[in-house]
Amino acid sequence: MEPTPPHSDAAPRKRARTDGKRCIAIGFEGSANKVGVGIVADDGTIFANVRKTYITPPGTGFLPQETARHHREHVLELAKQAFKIAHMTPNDIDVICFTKGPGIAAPLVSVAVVVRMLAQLWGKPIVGVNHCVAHIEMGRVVTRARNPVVLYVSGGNTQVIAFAQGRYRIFGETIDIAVGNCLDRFARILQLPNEPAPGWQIEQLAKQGKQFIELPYVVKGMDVSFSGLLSNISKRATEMLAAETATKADLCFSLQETVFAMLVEVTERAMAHCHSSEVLIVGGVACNERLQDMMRAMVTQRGGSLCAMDERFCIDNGAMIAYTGLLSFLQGQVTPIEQTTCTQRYRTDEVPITWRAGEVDEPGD
Amino acid sequence: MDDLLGMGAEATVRKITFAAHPAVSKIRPVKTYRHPVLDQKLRSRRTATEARCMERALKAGVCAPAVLRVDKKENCEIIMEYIAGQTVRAFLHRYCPLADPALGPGPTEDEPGDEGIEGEQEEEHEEEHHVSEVQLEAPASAAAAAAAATATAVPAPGAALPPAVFLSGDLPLKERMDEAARKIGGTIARLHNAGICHGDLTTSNMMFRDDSADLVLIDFGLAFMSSSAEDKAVDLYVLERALLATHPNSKALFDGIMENYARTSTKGEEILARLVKVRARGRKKSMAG
Repeated sequence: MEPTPPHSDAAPRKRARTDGKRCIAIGFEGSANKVGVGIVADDGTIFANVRKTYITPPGTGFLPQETARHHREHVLELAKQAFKIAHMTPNDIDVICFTKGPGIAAPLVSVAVVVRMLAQLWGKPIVGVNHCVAHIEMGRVVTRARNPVVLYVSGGNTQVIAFAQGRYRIFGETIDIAVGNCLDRFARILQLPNEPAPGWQIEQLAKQGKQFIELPYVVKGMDVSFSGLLSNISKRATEMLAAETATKADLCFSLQETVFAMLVEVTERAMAHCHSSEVLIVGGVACNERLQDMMRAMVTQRGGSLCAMDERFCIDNGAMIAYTGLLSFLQGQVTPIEQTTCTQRYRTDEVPITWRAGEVDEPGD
Repeated sequence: MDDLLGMGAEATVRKITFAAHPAVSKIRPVKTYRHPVLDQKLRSRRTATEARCMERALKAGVCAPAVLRVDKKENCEIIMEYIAGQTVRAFLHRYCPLADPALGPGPTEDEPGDEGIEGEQEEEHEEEHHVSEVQLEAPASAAAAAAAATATAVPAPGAALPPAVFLSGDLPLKERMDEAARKIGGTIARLHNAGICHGDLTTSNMMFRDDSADLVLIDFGLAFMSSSAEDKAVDLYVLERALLATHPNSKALFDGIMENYARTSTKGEEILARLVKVRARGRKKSMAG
């Protein structure tokens, strides 16, 4: 459990169950192409965590309206399934949590509408959750990492984050597209299947790559940029494949080696800056084993440790939303129904991390 | 190895003796995590760019450590002049009152505790000579302190205040900060006029020399050549963020730096207009902000 901050009259009243039971939350996630429902307790125990992914044919990405339709079609069935797996009913739930943002508008809203309806049907309070913070908090509870430098890498986000002065501060980020978006779009150019994930397909192909092709490497201080690199490799891929001077495997290999080196470099810079010795990678791209290996090599060279990867905080899911919403809820925070809107732009550093408010900043080691 | 001055994310910096003089060696070690071809290219290219930018800065009349030797191939090493002085960071910690209740607690974001005086109102006692982030400088040296004390009689060219007065004399805060802003703003403008962007303008990467109180820019590890107003505005933005994060009530100082920058810069107006745009950027910032 997190240490609770000192009590003050101005602070909202903390909540706790009077019957001695743990607080239970249900969380709904739908910020991108995955819709998920999870049921968790305040100690991080996951009773259910079910998910459906909207997969499009090779060469195409997912479009907002179609993704929203997919989520609408599956969200209730997922909720029913979650209750069944958890052996619970809506009566067992203390709070309903949903992803407020950041994400794609249409799918976010389609899930929020469902959450508002269920909250009124069941008479339960709602808590809106920042998706990025949810990845971090789930990562911390699963790995028991105390105060890691976090690399958050997914299809929509690329950030290097560290906790300072009550917030998750963004030390570095992409100045254009996310790394996962760069990989996904290159997979489209190569017409790779989107199942189970385009990034996974690139990873498998890269294992057979032999030739390293130099690509633009853009690190500006703590920030990274991928759009120029993507244009460059996209153009050259067509030419090189036609001329047979490189294979798809070589291209995937070179792309991964380059973008991951950029990410590891900025993470190392953040570690040096914050005197931290722990690194946690979250988000969909964290599943990539090559990225994990490179990060581990860097961290080991610095005498630190890399937290283990786990699907519970890497791939978007409902449990991480439920857990993070519960942390807010226990601090007395709820989102009134008229404020249960969504936002596409919702920066990680906008959220006051009230449940860590008692922590004093300290050198990580 | 002896005299390790700093180990950043990218390079290892040591104090060495070179041609019978104290010098600094900066080596970019091999990073095993990345592909060897990429690793060699990055290290070699960055070493070359860093040395080139330092040399151009010196040629443009900007104080930087003199480059003594460059090995772009095997070691990726630069041997440079050793600067006896203190970082601007240490200087500000000493003279700028830290705790502004409106702005919360003292500095934390940047290297907590490195000066060991955080949270205290440090008065102008004791010569404190601090080690910079890349640590191109030795710990407190009595000799250097003595040198500073005796340098009073020789004012640096263009400086309004004699060095020893500026560095450690009895001086109202405002006068001292005005002089600091003059030195910092003027130096950055001259660097930019020469088409160089430093890339990491933090108070740890600027030093005041003990003898002349000249402002010396160090750690050109992220420096590059550019003529665009955008790049220079980003350079200034980095300084602003670093200054405000590390020295919470330094807004007046930053404004003073910008005023002096505009006076010396050949494209001041354009660059400062650009700075306003750069500030407004950032991914996923709320539209209202």
